[in-house]
Amino acid sequence: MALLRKELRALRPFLWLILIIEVLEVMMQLMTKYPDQFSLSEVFTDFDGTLAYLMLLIIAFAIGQTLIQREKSEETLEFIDSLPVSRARVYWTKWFAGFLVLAFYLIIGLVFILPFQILSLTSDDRSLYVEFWWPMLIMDLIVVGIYLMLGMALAFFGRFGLLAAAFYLIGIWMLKEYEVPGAKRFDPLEFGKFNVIGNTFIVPWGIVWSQLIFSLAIGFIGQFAFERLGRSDHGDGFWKRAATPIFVLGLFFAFAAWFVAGIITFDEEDLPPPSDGSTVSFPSWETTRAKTDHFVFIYPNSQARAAEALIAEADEIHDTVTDFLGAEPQRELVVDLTSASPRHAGTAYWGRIRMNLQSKGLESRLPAVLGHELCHIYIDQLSDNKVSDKFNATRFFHEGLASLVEYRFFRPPEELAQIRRVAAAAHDREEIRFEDLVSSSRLSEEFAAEWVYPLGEVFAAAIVETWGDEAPRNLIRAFGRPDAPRNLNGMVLWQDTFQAAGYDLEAAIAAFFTLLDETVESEREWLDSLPDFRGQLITDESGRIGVRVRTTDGDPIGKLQPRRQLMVRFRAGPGTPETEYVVRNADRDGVAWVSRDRFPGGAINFQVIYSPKGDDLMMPLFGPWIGTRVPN
Amino acid sequence: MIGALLRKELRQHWWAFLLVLLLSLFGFLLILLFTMAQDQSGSRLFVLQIHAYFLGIFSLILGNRLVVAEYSAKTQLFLESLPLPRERVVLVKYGLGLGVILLCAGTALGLGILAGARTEVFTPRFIGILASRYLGFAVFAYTFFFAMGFLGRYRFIAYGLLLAALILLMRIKDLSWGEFSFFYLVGGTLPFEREEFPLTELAVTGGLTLAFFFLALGLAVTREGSVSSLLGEKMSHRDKITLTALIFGILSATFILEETKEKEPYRMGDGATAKKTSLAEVTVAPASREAQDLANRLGSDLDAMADFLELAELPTISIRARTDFDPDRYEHGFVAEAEGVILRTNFEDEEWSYARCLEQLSGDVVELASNRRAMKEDRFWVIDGFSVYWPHQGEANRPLDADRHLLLRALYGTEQIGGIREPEDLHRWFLFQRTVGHQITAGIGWSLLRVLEQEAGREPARAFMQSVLAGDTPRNVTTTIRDFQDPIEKRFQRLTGLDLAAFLDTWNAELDEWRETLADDLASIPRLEGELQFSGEPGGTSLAEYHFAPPPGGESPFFERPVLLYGGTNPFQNSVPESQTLRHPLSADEVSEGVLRETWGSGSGITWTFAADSPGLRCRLISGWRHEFVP
Repeated sequence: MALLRKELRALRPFLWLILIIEVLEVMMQLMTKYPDQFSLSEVFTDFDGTLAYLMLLIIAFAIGQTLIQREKSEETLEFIDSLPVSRARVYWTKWFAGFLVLAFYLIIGLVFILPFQILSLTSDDRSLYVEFWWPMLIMDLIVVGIYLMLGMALAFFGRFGLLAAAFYLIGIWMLKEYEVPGAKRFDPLEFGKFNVIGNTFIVPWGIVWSQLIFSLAIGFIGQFAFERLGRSDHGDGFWKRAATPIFVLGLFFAFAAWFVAGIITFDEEDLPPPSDGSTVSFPSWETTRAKTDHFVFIYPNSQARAAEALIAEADEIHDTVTDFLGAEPQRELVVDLTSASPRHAGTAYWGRIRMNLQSKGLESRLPAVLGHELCHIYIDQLSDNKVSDKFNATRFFHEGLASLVEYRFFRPPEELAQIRRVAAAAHDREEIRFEDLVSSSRLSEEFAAEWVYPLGEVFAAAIVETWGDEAPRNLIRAFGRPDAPRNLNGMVLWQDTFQAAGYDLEAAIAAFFTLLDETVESEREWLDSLPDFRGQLITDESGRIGVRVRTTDGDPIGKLQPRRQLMVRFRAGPGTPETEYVVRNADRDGVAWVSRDRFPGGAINFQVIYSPKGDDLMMPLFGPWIGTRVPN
Repeated sequence: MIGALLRKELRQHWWAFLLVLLLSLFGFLLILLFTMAQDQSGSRLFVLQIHAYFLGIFSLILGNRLVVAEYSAKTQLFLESLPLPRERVVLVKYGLGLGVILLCAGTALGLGILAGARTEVFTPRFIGILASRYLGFAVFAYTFFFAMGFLGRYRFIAYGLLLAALILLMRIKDLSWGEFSFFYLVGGTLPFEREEFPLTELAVTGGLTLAFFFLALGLAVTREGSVSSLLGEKMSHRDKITLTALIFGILSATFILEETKEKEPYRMGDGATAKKTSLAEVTVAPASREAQDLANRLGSDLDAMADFLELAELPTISIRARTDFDPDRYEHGFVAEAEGVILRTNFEDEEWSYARCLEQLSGDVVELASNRRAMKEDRFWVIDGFSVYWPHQGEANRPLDADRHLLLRALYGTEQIGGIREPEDLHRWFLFQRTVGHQITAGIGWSLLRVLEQEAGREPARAFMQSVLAGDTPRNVTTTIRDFQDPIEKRFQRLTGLDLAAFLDTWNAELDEWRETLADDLASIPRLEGELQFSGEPGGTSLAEYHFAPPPGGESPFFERPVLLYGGTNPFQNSVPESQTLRHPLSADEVSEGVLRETWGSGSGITWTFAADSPGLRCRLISGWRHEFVP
């Protein structure tokens, strides 16, 4: 107890700091809100969990530094050695003292917030949401213990400990970007990605246990280092000098080795089945450059025929697009035809276009793709890049207008149905509001980000129908006008832009929904012929999670070809970046399987994707997202 | 001597230099590999854009090693004892670090050009633009961190102040991060801009680089180096804590100032604006004769309302036509940066009702004018009632059945919720709203205000409404304290001269009389009932099965268009906004049974009610909102 008291005394400044932080927090609330009209939902509005846990990590590291470095800098090690307790015991007492301080931080935060919640109880909602904050508090107590063990162990390396932590976080981030399985389990900031289903906080126990075991191992290393602290022999001058460089370089190489190992074991479930074990590699072909009036094309020699056919039409395509948008060509455009991206037929940015000559399906009509991408280039040029600056609010317009140009000028008229049908299905089955369209992130969270193409095309077409061909260019110029207010976003941005262009946004929205209704009406027979699917979450003996797709009548999928026509898209939660979505084909039984390891956070969202047979749609049809717990 | 200095620095920091070089190379290759594998970036030179952030971190590391470590350990005193001018020592350090950074940047640039050789069209001009932007940023970043190093323990404060200044500048000038010259150089256009040298940005960054360079030199030589020596001393533990607390204090103060700042009123740029008004600023768009008439009428009525409630100001009212809406639909708009009531409705439709619009606006105006304090549950009956009381006001003594539909709502509602007998019952208003719907509770609230007007007189009733709906209620704890000291019940008695419990008895007696008079009508208002059950595997996903039996007789003046309203709820909420509510139409004549098309995840929240339009009450009837979690 005496030892614990001594350590707590040493940490007194942190206790003060914590109190100051919490008192400031309460003062902020008291000075800006009514304490008796302040519910828990307001606490979590705009709450950045990752930042909160990063703060916690920093405080834990600072406490760890204080607990370890202080003994060294104040030369109190000899005093400790004179006590009748082992160094190991001293080390873990320090940890416990730090833990108590951090636990105080967590509990006092709750103590300050709960009275607000109690004062704000209403007759229709008398819940204190114990099912939310109690599991979260338990998790947080374990998490601060983990953070502190790491912080104390790394404190032996002084500021390089922080460097090591930074390396670790960057490494984890990269592994996650590469979708290396298990990387999430070791991300100390993963706890900030809250999963709440209903009002229940889902504790990511898989992550908690992994990190607890890892930090315990690190903690024992820290204990060993503490036992050695100040007891080095006189003859180790070289090692003392070399310790820091060895640590830093060792850290670097360990990181590199770990990363390479991660890449080698990269996502085994995604790899194709092994054939004879040997890897066949092909040479990459040389590229050729070809110049036209407006473009420089770069294409692989192996695809010269397709490229040259496109190049022959390129200037005409260019003039069609610039005529429609009323744009003057200002620069030579580079078209890189070497892309092999499976995700996009083309991309465009700032005078440079990348296209995939190998793309299959509808997008293989290369002049259409070039026309689409050129439209993006000139939207940016005409608006001085202002349309792209607000990409979240304007993505549907960018893609919609480019799709309009693509289908109107570079595809036969009968192909228009292939994009309009997707829009019709979306409108017919879901409650889409214009507000959803002007937020690409919301569209992605609630429906499918891909809908910016079909719905955007309908919006662009509605504008053209209402105000004529010059309407898009007037809107684009209104975006780029020098005196445009710069901090607008979402609906207000659109309101302002329409007004500046001399149009009425409400009229545009009305025309958009009218055109959608008309499209639904004209496609009614086709829409009614579509099966309506739902997914049922199941698990198998090996612990995999599956979604069994059935029609809403409960029938099995019948004559459908599940592998070709049915897919299920999975994600951890609504905030998951699109790049982290996992797509799986349904098997013969109509079940799409995914590894449980993908969802260590304990929650799962899924969406059924259906490609109607024989309909060459621009994209498949997306069902609604269903969110639930990962079953045991 | 310079050679000796260089050797000393190399011996002392060789591992830091090596680390930076290795990290730069390895990092570059890693990003390259990553961008090539993803093949999403549009150009392989994108790798340079990411690597530029690495250069910033390396500059920080080198600045710390070359300057901070030296001055905090006070080993610069040894260097100062050498027969060399002080500035030369600093220049050697600066040159060495700059050399390492340029080596990193140069290697990355060379490798980037090599990596892009197959897919880019490199011209001397393009390479020149790339090199000037990239190396310009590298030199700036290094010089900045080198100079900051001389501020010693105060560099953190300097970082904080510079960051705050940048954020302030962004707010004042409406800039984004990418528009600052030094960030622009390595911004989104770096891999793509082939024709134009960003001369202004290069000049500004160059100027800043020179300024930071001279700052470093100045700090190093001022008063024979004693300033930098003093600044270089290590921070004590107490200093660090104090500094952290100070930063939190500044952040909190900024937040409070930001939150309490009065927002600008929202004004639409087009439309017809109300004429001859004193307070009300009403705009209706798109402009037309019809819009002008509506604006004028609303302006006049809202002025009268402001007068009645003694409001000193009114929020701006902006109404836009939404021709595809049902005539009884109102959609609210929100603007983060401004304040005002923004509504979209189909006022051009023949069935659209002006009274209904005024009901909507009365509530919205009071909500904003009272800083939402009028929405507190213990007094919600007042705002609920006022939203229909004001548009339907007349002589204080006219009978309640002059507004028959409102009276019927009150009678039906009180019956459904089991009556309001005690003042404490008024504290359960939100529960009543969930049981019978807010339009019915508005009717109950209306009857309370109307009886109050009759019992206490118009002026005392007005004073009470004014106190609840338009009192001075700053959005902070002082209002809460004041309300604790002067609760609604006490205020009611003081301003109306009536005891609330006794008043409720009178009100109940009045309603009971009307209940007998209107018994036939009341009996024909149906009570909706239905069931929603979940079937599926617990812990997985479920379907929702509904069962609804319409009242005998099918459609009537009090019952038509039955529907199941439902929606998934967000955490900590038990309701969904009207715009997010899903509808499942039902039969008015036959039993409806079936399965909703949605699949519900285990644990997710759902709220639902059976509802029907009631033309006789001019509102919607509901079976009662239920909130449950899917098993």
